[in-house]
Amino acid sequence: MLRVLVGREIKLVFRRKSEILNPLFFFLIVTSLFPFGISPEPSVLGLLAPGVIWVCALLALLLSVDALYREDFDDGSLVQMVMSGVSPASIVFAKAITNWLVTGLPLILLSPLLGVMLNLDNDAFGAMVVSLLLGTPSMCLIAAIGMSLTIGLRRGGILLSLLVLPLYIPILIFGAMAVNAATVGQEFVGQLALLGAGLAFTASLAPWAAGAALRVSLSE
Amino acid sequence: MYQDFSIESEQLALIRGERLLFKQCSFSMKNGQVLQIRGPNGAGKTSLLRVLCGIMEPDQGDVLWCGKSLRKMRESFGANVLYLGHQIGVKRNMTVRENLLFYSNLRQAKPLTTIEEAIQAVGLTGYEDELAAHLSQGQTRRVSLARLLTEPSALWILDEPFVALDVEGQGWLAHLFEQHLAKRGSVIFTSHQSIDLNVKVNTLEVSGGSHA
Amino acid sequence: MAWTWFFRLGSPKWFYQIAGRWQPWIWGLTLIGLSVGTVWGLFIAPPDYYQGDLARIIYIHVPAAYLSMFTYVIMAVSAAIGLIWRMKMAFMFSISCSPIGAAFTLLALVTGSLWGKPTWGTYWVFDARLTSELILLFLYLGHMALYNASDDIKTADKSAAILAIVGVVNIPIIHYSVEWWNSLHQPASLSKLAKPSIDESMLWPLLIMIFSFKLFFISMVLPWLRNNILWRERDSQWVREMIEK
Repeated sequence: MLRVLVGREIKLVFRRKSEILNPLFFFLIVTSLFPFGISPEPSVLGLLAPGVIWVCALLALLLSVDALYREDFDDGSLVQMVMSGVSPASIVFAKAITNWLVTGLPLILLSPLLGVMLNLDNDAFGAMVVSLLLGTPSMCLIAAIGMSLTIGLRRGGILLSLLVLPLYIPILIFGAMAVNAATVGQEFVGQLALLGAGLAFTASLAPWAAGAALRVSLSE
Repeated sequence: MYQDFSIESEQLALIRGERLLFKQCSFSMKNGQVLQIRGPNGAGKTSLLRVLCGIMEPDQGDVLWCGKSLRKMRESFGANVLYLGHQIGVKRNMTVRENLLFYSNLRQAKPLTTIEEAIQAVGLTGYEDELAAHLSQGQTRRVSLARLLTEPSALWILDEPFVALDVEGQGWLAHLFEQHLAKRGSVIFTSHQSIDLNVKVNTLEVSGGSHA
Repeated sequence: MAWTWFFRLGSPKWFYQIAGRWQPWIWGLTLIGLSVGTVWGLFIAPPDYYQGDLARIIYIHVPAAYLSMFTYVIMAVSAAIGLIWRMKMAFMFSISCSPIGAAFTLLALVTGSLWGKPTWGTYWVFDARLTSELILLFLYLGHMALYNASDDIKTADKSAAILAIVGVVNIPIIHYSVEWWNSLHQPASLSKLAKPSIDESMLWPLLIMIFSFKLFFISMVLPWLRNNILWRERDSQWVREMIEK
């Protein structure tokens, strides 16, 4: 069942390639704005790099989620899937998986490039990639809750950020902290373990909350 | 031959915003029956169908599927009911074949007819691998109607199925209804026009629109 | 017996009338409690050893911060009751909590930063508790925004309820992550709001204030809830009869 759902999502995303590329461009552009706003000084940028990369990845990911739901809501596909006996939780879970595969993963692959641009400490690249690997899936799952809550609303866009961003804070804290620890040569396994625990927690609960929210939104 | 089922509504009432769309709406139906829901535009026909499908919750009353509340029977209901609403869920960026294949895969039901046969039956031969975005409105409608063939379901709940079909298409759909009834299937549909069927059609009037 | 009482709570009319009868008494108790606590806290209790009279702001700050969390929990619990037992009243109660909770959060933030000015030399420091309060304010704002964005009151009720539950699950996680983040970034001397132990002479007025703030919460939520009831039931028989009288 999940395979059928994810297969469909990926097929649809690949037919509108801008959906994959736009968040990546966004990530690239927003990250490269920081030197203009702060300073081109490599040492300053190196200090800010972990946080900047994490925040920009988080925003890029959040922007990408709307496209996965909007059309399916408008053309009635979501109702049809629910009416075909698929639980809303699996629909949402499939969308979160797709979101991660087509946006989360490319962001992670792109992040070392931005690390180089922002003069990230050489020892921190590993921590950055691993922390993003553990943190981004949780963010996709949390975004799914926010998206399911706001999909039926006419002006859902900004509201989505308002609902979801506060919930991202713990992930951001641990993710950026792991990279920061790595830049100064400290141990960062603890932060990664917490990110992993967070992922297990959101993966087991978020689909149910998002599924319940989706059912409510479809009744609008 | 479909399994026995029954669907009934008890004193349904639905309020949308300020308006009472319907109240004390009761009916019951079993295998081999047709129910046409009639009423003027905006009377709440579509909302009633959505309540019957369990998508919307009524303010009063309950929908019973095989004697039990629909909320507790979602799985059995989903396996036996096909609902085609206003938004028919045909993806513009998928081909006709992919659209049909996706939904029949989701249901994991054994189709009575293959997807090719169904596409032929709705008169879309040659369009199998065409993106739905390239089809006309009537053709898109036919894609969704092909699901009636590829996903055998005892109860069809159809919102304005005759709209956007030409005379020929309407005749074909009416014939399909008759075949479905012969196999002990049932149909609930909305339409503001009269439909000629060679079977007894029960009607339910939704007047709706009164102030709550 | 207990259950009939529980389900009668679900009747808006019954609740409206009972709440109307209780309201003056609860307001009275609140005012008494707040005056006793304030006088005791500001004039009778001894000044703090380190901060002198400055520390007296805890008699407002701590109850406000406590109530900001407490209100969120109450909001989430009644949201869950609404979803599980399909109780309209529980949704209405939950919805009425969020502006009040947001007000408490704002009060805690304002008193916290006023306290911060003389102690830290600046109004705002990303102190663990203040940061947690700030995020809590975001959660309240999101909840209110979601509720107000929906045209359909039934959908709005349920969406807001789900969000409240998601929020309450996240509050402890946010709280501890912020605390940990803060302890690594800030020298410990800055977290002066954390009082490991408190003298009994200061504890009593503080407890009275917390209790009175709870009463204050009830006195605030009741009129809010009654307004909500009237608005939603404006077309029903009993509201019309009452207005005609």
